[in-house]
Amino acid sequence: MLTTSSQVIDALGGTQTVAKLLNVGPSAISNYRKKGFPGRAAFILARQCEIQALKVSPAVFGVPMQEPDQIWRRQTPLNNTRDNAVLALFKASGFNQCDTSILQPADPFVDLLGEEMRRRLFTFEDPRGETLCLRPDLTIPTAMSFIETGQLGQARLCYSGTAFRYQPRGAGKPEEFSQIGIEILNGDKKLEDEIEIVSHMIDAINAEGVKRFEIYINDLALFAALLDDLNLPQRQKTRLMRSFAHGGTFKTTLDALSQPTTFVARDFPYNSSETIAGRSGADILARYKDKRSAADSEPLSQAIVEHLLAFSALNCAANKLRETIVQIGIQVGPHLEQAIIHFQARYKKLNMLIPNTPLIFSATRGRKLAYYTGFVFEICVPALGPRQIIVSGGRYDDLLAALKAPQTMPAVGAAMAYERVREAAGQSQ
Amino acid sequence: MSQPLIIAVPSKGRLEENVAKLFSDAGMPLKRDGARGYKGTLRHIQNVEISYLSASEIANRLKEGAVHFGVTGEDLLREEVPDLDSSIALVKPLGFGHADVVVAIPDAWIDVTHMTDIAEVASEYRQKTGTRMRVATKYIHLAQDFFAQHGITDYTIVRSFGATEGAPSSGAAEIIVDITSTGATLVANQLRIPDDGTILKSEANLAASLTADWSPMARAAARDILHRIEARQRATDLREIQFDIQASDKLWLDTLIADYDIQLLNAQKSDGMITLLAQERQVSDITQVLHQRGKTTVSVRVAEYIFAAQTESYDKLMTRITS
Repeated sequence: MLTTSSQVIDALGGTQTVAKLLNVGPSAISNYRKKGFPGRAAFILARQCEIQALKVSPAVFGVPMQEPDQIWRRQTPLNNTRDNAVLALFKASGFNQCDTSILQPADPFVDLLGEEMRRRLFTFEDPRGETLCLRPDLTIPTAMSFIETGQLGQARLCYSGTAFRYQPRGAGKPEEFSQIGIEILNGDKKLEDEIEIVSHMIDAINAEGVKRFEIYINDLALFAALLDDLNLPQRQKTRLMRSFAHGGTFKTTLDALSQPTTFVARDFPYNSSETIAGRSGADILARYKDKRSAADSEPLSQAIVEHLLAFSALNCAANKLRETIVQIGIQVGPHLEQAIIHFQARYKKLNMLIPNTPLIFSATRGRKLAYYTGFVFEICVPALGPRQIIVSGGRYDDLLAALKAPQTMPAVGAAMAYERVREAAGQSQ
Repeated sequence: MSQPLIIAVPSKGRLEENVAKLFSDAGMPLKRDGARGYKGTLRHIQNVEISYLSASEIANRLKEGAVHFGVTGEDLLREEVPDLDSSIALVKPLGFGHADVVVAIPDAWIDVTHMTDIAEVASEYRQKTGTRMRVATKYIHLAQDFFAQHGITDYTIVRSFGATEGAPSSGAAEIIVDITSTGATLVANQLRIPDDGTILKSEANLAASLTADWSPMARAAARDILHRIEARQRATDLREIQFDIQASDKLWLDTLIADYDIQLLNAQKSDGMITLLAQERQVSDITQVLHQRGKTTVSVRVAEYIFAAQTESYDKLMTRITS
């Protein structure tokens, strides 16, 4: 931890280097050593320290410490990405380039993104009152464009373009960034397709010069299988699945389900054929009776609550998944067993692909983008701090149907945040 | 040149009347330039400019730092200014303009009692109809945040410009988010608040802008105003209790003072009269105790003002402005 302006100057290469960086004379630098940095210098140097991953006491840069964040948020994307080496690599592997608009109708995104991503969406009304958004990722537009072509056989698509996500102050991430990615839509070989996606992404970042990274993997089917084994009433299961995907409400949902429900009887003073604010009397009564009978069923036991909470935060070496699950006290039932076997088969293939890269299971990964349904992975370079996830992807088998494809279709894909990959490559040197 | 202190107050309606009362009770009546003017001053306080604005505009002027103080509802502040704490400080709740921002559903939805029910019903509605359930409101941000907290995603906001409670029966929306003070309007429209459907219990607040230019002149005026408002609030909350005292009373007096969180106004604990300051709601309990101790006559007075050397709310505000 650097605690004085003088230490910061030395760590950045000494008086001459810093003077050049700030475009001032050496005498100014010796002043900074004594009196601390003025606003503009603090801006530039704080950012430089962030890039070089130097730990600096907040006192050194004083109040303007918050300002480097402005620089990150308003960073210009490396926008030459429409025609770049990564894309060329994907095309050479048999992926067809798919270009989509930056400007998109907001509705599909509002519908399909999880709450956290929804809050990051830039939306606005056009003069006619239609709500539009700047695409927050390229997967949904690419999938929509695939459906629009009407040719719904297997498709291997790649893309490169700018995406936009609002960043809260202090997040240390740009709001405008380049995504380059690939998707296998309606593919028939599920496991092979997943491995192929990971493999192409690793080839791409290797070619860009990123040598050291770790991979987090998760499979959202594990949680669903865990719930299947618990034989919960359908309503409870749906609630848990929804709050698990939503993230923020999982704990409160568990708390609520572990309390005995008090059921207050009410009269329905209407005819069941009437419609009240869009819902039929029959629907209201059916759900009312359903709740009444559910009120008699047992609340979730404390043991189950603890197991689900522990599982939802699980982090372990991917080859140790089964024993870690057993360690937290969960009895592996038939559904979960099946899901673990599937997970391990995939793990083995991934491990063969990249024997020297750590593969870590993490139950929290992939839950931010609500459309993932199974396998998810993230390639991380921890040194990049808030920008450490350089590639993310996974399986999203429900997305195409949700976007009005005529039937459910398997789909898997991944995208890299190109600026982060460049930053990681810079660090590898 | 130093800037005067600018205070934005509501330009009409019940809120305006209450604000006028607040300032005149505190000994500094508002002086409006003409009955319908949009500028004014404060009597007895120098360097203050009053700006009469609509209640919702006050929130925005505070956010921009165009005014130092503003009186408006917490509901409007939280709705208009998403990251409230970074630009505005709630200095004092004022005890009027009470209103709850609530979710309301058709009373006939007897299966819906909690927000979790709304989450389920909304997603079933979407599956059945292919469209999202509509929520009519003018509190768009408050509604979105609250629904997000409850994990509700299958809905869409319909902007409402008034008579929101009529939306479910007119078919403009299925549920609403609106303000209510007594709940009577909701009942009249066959609507009901889910058990956990209260978003915010709001009242009028004296709010301060953290982004305004707090010149020394503005600070001095702010301190003076808060000093008087606090003195007045203290006088409203507290009562002077006066009775005869003898030296032997000291034995139980200290216990009484501790038990009821009483302040001593004059410390004549020997012979003569003693005056205590106590919470208004505890006056009757305290007089009972005094009677038991043989004090046959106890007089209780209302003070016009009770000033204290420290102006707590001003000191707190200054720490936020300077940090």
